[in-house]
Amino acid sequence: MPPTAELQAAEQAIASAERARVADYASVELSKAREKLAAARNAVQEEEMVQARRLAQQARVDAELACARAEVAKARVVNEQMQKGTDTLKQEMQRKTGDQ
Amino acid sequence: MKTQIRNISTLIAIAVTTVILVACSSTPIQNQQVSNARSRLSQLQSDPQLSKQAPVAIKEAGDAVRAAEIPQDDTEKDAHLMYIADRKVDIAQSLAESRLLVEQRSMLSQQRESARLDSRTQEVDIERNKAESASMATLAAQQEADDARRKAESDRMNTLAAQQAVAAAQQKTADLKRQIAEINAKPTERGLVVTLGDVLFDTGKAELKSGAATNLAKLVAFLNQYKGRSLLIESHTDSVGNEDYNLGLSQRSADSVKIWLMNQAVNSGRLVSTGKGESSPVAGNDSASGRQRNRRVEVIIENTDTTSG
Repeated sequence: MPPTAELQAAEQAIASAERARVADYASVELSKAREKLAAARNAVQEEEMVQARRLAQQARVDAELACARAEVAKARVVNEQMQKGTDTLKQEMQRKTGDQ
Repeated sequence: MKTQIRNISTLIAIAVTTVILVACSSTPIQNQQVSNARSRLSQLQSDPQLSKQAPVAIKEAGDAVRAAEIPQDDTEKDAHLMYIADRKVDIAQSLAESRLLVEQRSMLSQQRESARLDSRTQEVDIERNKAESASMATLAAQQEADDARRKAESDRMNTLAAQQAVAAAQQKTADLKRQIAEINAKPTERGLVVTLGDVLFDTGKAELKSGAATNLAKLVAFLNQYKGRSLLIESHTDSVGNEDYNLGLSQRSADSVKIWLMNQAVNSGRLVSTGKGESSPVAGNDSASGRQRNRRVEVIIENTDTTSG
């Protein structure tokens, strides 16, 4: 029996990573996920179902990790911009105080 | 070609050896990797800030690590479980980090708002200070303008006063010149000499004639205006008669003039009267007209600096 559920889960995880434009932040993990999904399909073709299930499971966690790392990177950018905005305001204030 | 083939076969040999080595030593390596995943998971769990962010993912990671920790007969399954556990720990870690970052945004946003408020307050302060210093500057400028206006006014007044003084001085000089002309005075080294002909006295008399006052009145007016000037009154006679008599007559007539002037409120201290007799004739005594010219009173008004002009 081919690991249909595992393959679908991996496909969904990869699709959702692609929707979230994860490739910009975690391209290595996403590439691994794609490679493993392809390998899993190959294994199904060769009727190596145990191998296929494991590869599909690994593809899924790779895609999920890609998503999670991308989220961290995006969140960090937003926070850094906020912090920068505050820092800029403070610097401007110091400069104005210096001007007076 | 031969060398290449040998190289390739060497590579294959190495690859095969490696696979065998990995297979043989898989358990210790596996153990080490699993314990590595376990320790990273423990670290995440013991972080008070991170652990509360992703409890479900951490639980899943814990399950995966536990599954990997149970040795299997199948090394490939061991490796697979290890891989899944390792990834799940990474996923839990990343989820927790990103959620913590999101949570920190409200604090960052508060900080930014507070900074913005401070900045606005400071801007208002700066604007107020600017406005204050501008109004101070305006005030100072107004005071300066007032000062300048007052100074201009006072300068104008000074100029006016100076002009008036000049005009008055000019007027005074003009008056003096006119009056000098009126009393028929001649400027000499001794001073202004006013010659009063024999209109003051009858021949041989030392008392002023009644009409003499008209001639002397102008002199009095002049003296009253220039109170600082002294007067020398010199009376002369012709050569008719005794010389001593003439000297006495001339002294008496000079005195008459002095007394008359004193009666006109001219200070006696300014008046000196001298009888010159017949000693200083201005014409020959051999003709009636010459003798008439010699019979005279000369009033010498002493010079002061102001009359030199």
